[in-house]
Amino acid sequence: MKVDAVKTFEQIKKKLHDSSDIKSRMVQFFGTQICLCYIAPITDNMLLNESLIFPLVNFSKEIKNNDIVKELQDNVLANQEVTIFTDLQSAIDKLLAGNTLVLIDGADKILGCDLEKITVRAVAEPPTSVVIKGPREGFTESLKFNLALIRKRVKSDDFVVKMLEIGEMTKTQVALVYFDSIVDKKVVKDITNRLQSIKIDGILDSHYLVSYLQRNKKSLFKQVGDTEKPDILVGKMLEGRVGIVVDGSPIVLTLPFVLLEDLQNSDDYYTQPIRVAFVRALRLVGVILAVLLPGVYIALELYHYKILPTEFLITIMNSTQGIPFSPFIEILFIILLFEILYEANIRMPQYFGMAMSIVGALILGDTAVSAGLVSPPAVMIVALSGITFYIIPGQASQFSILRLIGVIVGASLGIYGILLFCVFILSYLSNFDSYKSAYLAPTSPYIEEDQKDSYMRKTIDEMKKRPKSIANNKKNELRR
Amino acid sequence: MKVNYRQLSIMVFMSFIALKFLALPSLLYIESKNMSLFVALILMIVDGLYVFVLLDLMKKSEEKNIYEFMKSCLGPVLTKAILILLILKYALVVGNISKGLKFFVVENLYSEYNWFVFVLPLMILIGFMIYKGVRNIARVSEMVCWAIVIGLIYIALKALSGVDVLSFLPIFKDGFKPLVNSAWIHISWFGSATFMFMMFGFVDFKDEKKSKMIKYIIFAILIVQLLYFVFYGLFEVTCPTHNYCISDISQFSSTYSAIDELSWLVVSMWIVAQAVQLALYSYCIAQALKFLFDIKGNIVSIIIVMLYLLAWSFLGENTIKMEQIFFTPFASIITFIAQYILPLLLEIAFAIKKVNKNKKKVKNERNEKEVKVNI
Amino acid sequence: MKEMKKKLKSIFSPKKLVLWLCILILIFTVPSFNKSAMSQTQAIVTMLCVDKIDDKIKVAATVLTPSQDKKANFQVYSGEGETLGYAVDSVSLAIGKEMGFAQCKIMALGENICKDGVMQVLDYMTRTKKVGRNAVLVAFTGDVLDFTQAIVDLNLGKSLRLDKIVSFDKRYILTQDSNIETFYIGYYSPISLGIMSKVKLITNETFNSIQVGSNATNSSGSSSSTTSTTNGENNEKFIMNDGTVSLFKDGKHYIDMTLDEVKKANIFVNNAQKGTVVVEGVTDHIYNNAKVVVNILKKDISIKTSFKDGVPIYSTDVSLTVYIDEVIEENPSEKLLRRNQDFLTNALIVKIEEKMESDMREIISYCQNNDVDLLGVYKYFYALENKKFEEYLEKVGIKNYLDGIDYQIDIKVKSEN
Repeated sequence: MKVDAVKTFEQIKKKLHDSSDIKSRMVQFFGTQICLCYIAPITDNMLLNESLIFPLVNFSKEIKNNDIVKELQDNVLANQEVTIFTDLQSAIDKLLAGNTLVLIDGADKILGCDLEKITVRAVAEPPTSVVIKGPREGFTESLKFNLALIRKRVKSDDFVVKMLEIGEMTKTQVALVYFDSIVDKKVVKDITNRLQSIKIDGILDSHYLVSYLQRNKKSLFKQVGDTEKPDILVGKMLEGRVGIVVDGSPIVLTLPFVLLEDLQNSDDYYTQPIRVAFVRALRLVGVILAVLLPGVYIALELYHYKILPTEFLITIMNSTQGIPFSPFIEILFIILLFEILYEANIRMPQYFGMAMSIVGALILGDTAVSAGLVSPPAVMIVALSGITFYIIPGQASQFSILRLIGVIVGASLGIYGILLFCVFILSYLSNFDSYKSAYLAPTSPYIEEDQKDSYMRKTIDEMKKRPKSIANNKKNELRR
Repeated sequence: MKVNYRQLSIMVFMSFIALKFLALPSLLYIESKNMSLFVALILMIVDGLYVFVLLDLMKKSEEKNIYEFMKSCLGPVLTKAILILLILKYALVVGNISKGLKFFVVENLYSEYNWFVFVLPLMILIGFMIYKGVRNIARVSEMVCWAIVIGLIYIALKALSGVDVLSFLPIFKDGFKPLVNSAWIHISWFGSATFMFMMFGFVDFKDEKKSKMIKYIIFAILIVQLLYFVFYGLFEVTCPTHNYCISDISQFSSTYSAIDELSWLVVSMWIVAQAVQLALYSYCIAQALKFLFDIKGNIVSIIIVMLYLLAWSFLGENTIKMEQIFFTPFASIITFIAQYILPLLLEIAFAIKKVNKNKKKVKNERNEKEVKVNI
Repeated sequence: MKEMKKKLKSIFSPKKLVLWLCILILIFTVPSFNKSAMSQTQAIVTMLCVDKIDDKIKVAATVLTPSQDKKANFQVYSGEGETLGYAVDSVSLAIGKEMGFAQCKIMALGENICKDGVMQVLDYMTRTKKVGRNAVLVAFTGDVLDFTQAIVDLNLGKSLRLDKIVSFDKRYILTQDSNIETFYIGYYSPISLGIMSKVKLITNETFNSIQVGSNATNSSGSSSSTTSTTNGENNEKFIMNDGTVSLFKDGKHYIDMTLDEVKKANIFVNNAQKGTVVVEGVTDHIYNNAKVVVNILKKDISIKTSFKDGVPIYSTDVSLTVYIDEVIEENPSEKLLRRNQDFLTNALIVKIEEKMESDMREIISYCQNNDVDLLGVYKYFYALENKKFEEYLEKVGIKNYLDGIDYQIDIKVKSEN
């Protein structure tokens, strides 16, 4: 490759379809013409001036090397990362990633300097994992920044960042992060292979990778963990998981994933174990209420009034009297209403959202009840189950579908159907082994050693060994 | 797709308690009156001992499945005959459970029902669980086991205060004959370890702890004894009129507080235990059919099992009649041979095979030596 | 054949399986779209009263009816027919709904049906109509409809429930639960003795006279729960639970026990912990011809059975912990007001023991005279002295076995201190 500052720049511009944001700056350096080629919106102007233009223009020393490329790389360019490209395509790729290319007349190489302008929003507490106690830092959309947040917490030589580039068009940077001595190498290999085999135009968010990483692709159930907080990610990595950080996404994926993870919260590790046991039991009850309560209610109403205490039955009878819909349609209607309100609420601007809650909860609900369209117990049951969804926010989306199935089963088959439905779900989830970890572990298969942090949590000093339910290098003990 | 030792222990535990809490206690009472506790106790202890015989055989089989193991010990013809016997035993258990489940659901939970609509979801569930294999059933058992145990203990303790200990006296008034009689007539409700035949080659003995298995068996016996104690002590002479032991105990011990009615939900948990057991024994039938007819893949055997389940529901109100015609006359014999004779037979056959093998080895060695001497 | 296979494969291809599944779900789901709540399609019965009038069965049922006015939640319907089934059907026809008995908590049986035998009624209700066997069983006097209406009024007017009143009896008056199951257990036992609580329906006039009468004659008082109906002054009907217990032999009403007799019988029963003993004429260093009311705080009963020379001995050791409730003296001395003094004097203890023994002896002769085994004599001997007892039974016969037994009573009274 023979570089001609002007022609090569033209060549690059042509390759990029004469995009208007491709800019250049010509400089004379000891008689040699140098073209600095960059993409304006993603290049840091200040850095460009300070680390390239200023040294090139003001260089007054003698040239030590005959090789101008080597001279520039070693003595002139004041940039931390100078890459040498021998072919034009790879140089263009880097240009697109925010590098500024140094095109030197007559040279056979192109130099690239990383002058990417990092536009980062401020580190804030992620809305999905708010804690009372504990760190409040959350990931942002910048990969580099996110890696910095992780690095800040990890000062070990064991920590590995493995970069991949996915997406034909977007060329998105994806980083695999893990502790080399803790992680199961086969899991890393498996994940890497899966990621490398992805053929897609673009990765716009980490969730694009989920369907490539999960074993049961069409399943409703979540099979890849995610977090927005570096402390949680490091905690998971210390247990032997691999983190997948994607440029442009504040959500970091973690693998392997077990169902119990979502029952745990980062707050749990910053509070007393007794409180944790109570809260986790509460979450478990919450899950059951969220999924089964409307189904059980409809089953009791349609088939098993015998089970209801007489006083309770009277209350229900009195309040459902005169409702024009059958109980099944009534519940479906309320669930539908609830889901619509939920969708509208989260998509609306915040100031609208508040008004929406008031309209939804007070006006619609109250009016529907007083108009005799729906009964108060049905509204209460659906609302209660709706609230309990968010006791485990990570699973809320699948719970709403499960709740709907629960209602259909309850209305069609009663308690018997609901129990069979529960067994079916358990049976279905029992097969969700992925990345050498059982989905329902440590409950099934029961792993005694891991009970220290399952439905209850022991004190930190008692949790000496890494969990067995996660595929990891079990020989190491946590160095606490 | 192996199950670990703990899961096997739980499956044994579940199998030990599965058939015991519906009609069995009242049936036992007809023959052995207040001594029915002892009948259950003795047969369960014998079943417990046979668990260890079968475990021993499993280890001796060295990862072979039951078909290969029996074939190596008894030859192909006898093996196939035994497989037929085992299928009958499993079919008997599946029939018993599905009948019990059907009446339990219908009598206790619904006032109007269409059993055909009810059996379809059950078939789908059982078919799915069999398709996913024994590890799936083991894991589900592991998940639901404690919920069921807590439910049973709750029901028993709630009613314990109403038990009249005097109703258990005098003990052995009519000698042991009624006990033996009752044990023989109702032996088909026992033989809880027979499912283990189909577990040959599917158990991982890595974490084997005999004490764990012993604990689970003792626990199962204690729970059955506790509930039977409550049942017989509570209902005394009216025991034969109670076909659903746990629901009747729960209902009778209901006080007049409102929350008590909700104990029905605990009782209905029993459906889960029944469904899991149905899946286990249906799996055993499917597996045995696969060995018997050398079927490849699971689908055909699963369809046969599902059709069998469907047939039970088609019988409708005639279930009891059909059961009396087809099963009752042979039930005791089938169970007795499958559970109590077969393991011993296999032990003996294996010992003979070993002796023969050793003899052959010695002979070969001698021949080799003689050849060497001749050289 | 190959085509068949292809067809089958295409029918069961994964995509079409989803379709099949959807169809299956629809089959299950569609009927439930129009399904009304069971409480609306069935007439939910919470109490059923049955009696026989002129060879016809008359039933009255309280049916749960949805209403914003809580007082209208329980509606009373009645019907009659040749058999119980017909009578129930006639109510069903009147309401236009199937009767659902799953919530039926009370079965009340009228005097005539009790005399004729209650087993058929109970069998029909538990087998066909699936009334829970824990449903409270009550015998009653009076008209079926009036009684049912009075129970409803009792519930609505004073928030008192008959099932709760009767279950309260178990601790204070009746020795056991009065429900269908216990009745069955009694009926199918060798002595075939069923026990049922009895509640009376009385008019305003009768009620007043009973109140006056009871004040005059019975110093221990009677337990009664009453309510008035809203049918006007003259037709006021009351439910009175005066502690009467009906005894049934072979499923038929045999005899009624008064509260006094029941209380005496309860001395033999460990479950009935509550009780009062009234002794008169206590005279010693503290009392002067006093009438003392003693409350039983704790009672331990130990029943032993044995045979001596072929004679069965039924010995009852009663250990009572008591406290003094009332002392009635004409001119009470200041000693009675002193603190730190044991008022359970020897003379009082002797009196209590005498009174208790005489009460117990009275109930034993009541049992012997009426041939009812209220004390569980058969059960104890059968369980503890089986062989000898069977020999004894062979000798005297099942009807007279209570007479030949030697009843020994040992009472020990101690103070709560």
